[in-house]
Amino acid sequence: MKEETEKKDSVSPSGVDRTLIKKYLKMTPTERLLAHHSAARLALELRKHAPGSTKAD
Amino acid sequence: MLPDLQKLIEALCRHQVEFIIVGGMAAVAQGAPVTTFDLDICYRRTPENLERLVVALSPFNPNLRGAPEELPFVFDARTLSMGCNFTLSTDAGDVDLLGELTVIGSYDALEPKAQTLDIFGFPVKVMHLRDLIRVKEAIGRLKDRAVLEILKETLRLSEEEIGGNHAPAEI
Repeated sequence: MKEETEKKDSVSPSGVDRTLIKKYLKMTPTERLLAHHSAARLALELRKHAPGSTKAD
Repeated sequence: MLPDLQKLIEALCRHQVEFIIVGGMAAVAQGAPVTTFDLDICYRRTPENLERLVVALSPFNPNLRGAPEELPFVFDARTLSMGCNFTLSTDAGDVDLLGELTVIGSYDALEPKAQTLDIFGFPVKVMHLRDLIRVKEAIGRLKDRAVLEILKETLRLSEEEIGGNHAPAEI
């Protein structure tokens, strides 16, 4: 029951991860942009190595 | 190519360019966990500001993104004055220069509601999440619709936090 309530609080009715947003909101704008940069770099790397990908950035 | 935000923002601020960060980076700066691969800025289209923008970005060798190599492109105030929105690739990453935004209009229409945030030690104007939501709702592309719920939830949670407590970082 408690687990279910926690899950409900951490995800919005439309399925958005509230925990991640709350984590971002605790950071300064610069920290958010730096964190995003690392995540975006990783996303580009993954895209590069995706099956059938010919993109090298 | 991912933008080197620190270099670009530092150059724009040091040359006193009047600009507002819009799009995905504006969302990220305000706490939305979305992913974007370029820097979009809305710039003021006065002759003085076009000159400042050119001086600030020229060291990064801007070129039209995705255009054929043989297409001549001179990055100067005259070129900027003859166009409005430019998608550029630079040595510091991809940058979109927007003179006008769907629904909102020009820099002057966007500026009153923009937030000023401390980014890399500079006071930088950032498009308010509420305006960003309005634009994305109006454009309605699949990729915009996909992030809309994240933007709305970010706005709701940031307003919940003691009247929008991403205030510590605001200046």
